[in-house]
Amino acid sequence: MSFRRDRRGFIFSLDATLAMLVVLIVMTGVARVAGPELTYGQHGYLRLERYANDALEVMELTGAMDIIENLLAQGEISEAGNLAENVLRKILPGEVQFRLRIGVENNPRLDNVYPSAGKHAEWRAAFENAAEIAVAARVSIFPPENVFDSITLYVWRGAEI
Amino acid sequence: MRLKEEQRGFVLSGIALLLVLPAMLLAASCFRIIETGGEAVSLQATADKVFYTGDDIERIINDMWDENLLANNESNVNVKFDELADNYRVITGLLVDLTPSWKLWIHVENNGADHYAGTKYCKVEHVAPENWRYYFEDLDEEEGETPDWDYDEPILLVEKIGSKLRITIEDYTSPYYSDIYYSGQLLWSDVGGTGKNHVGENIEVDGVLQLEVSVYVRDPRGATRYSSTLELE
Repeated sequence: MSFRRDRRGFIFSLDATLAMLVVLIVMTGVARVAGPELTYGQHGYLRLERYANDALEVMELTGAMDIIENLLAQGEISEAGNLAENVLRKILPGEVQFRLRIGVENNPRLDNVYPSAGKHAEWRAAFENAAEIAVAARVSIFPPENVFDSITLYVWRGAEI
Repeated sequence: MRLKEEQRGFVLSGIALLLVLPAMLLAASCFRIIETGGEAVSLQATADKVFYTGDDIERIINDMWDENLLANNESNVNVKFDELADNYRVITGLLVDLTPSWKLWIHVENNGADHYAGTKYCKVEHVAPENWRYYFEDLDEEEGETPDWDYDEPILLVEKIGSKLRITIEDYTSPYYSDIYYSGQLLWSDVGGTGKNHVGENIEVDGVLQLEVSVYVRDPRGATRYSSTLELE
């Protein structure tokens, strides 16, 4: 095609097209690296960790944790477990699942508090297979001996069972 | 180099090169931004952990004071702070230092020892809502003496009255003499002895502080720190 003298415009040459291609490839690469997976990897985990810490904080501030500790001191372990389960279910969003343990791993005062009663095997499997788990831990004083013991809350994203 | 007629290829012109260069610069900047962002988030997560731990330690220490776990007529209660710090170290992996500093202490003139509340040489008892009793032992094991652990050299009654503490020497049953201090302030010197010097006397000090606890939490890399001083009265 030949241009007449009075017709004007830009000619996009082949090497400019190639340069643009290089630019696009580089930009796509960067966008992929900084994609949603990475953003989640950074902020999603942070949010999960804050969910866990804030949940324990709310339990302390509302006095729920004191009631749970007293129930445990009185030997009412299933009541303590039910209360912890109900309180945590109300505090945490639906897509966030949890496991609460009070005491050390090999000799806990209370363990296996999951979002719903029963189905412990399924919840245990979900916990063990969770891709990402955030942990919040506290220390509390337990009556009647007034000894220190740990409270550990694990949270992960997953469907309800 | 000259291209022969049958050789084909692309020639990257100056303009094309100029287009590629900003793309390269932009890409390098983006990678740097991503790296810095990741580091910032990781630091934020660590800072959160340090903050929650420090805040929780303060809550526990306040509970210990309110529930009289530090004033339950037991000696060496400072050990509880070590236990608390150890517990937090184990469950969080953070470095935790708790340093208690009780305000009332005695200097025993005969053996030169300084005996502080919170150590094995003193028991503190919360006897009424605003009243505490401090029981000191003046003999010192480290000075080669054998303490009788009767904790009556001296016995001090501490009453919180408004913004002041009234301190009364209730008893001193020992031939030894001691100086009694509130923080750095000398309240009495030469207390006790066979004549029971100053027993029955009282003095008022400004302030109601009895115990200060320094809380210092940090992550092992030292990137984030939490430091506070808790005043218990």
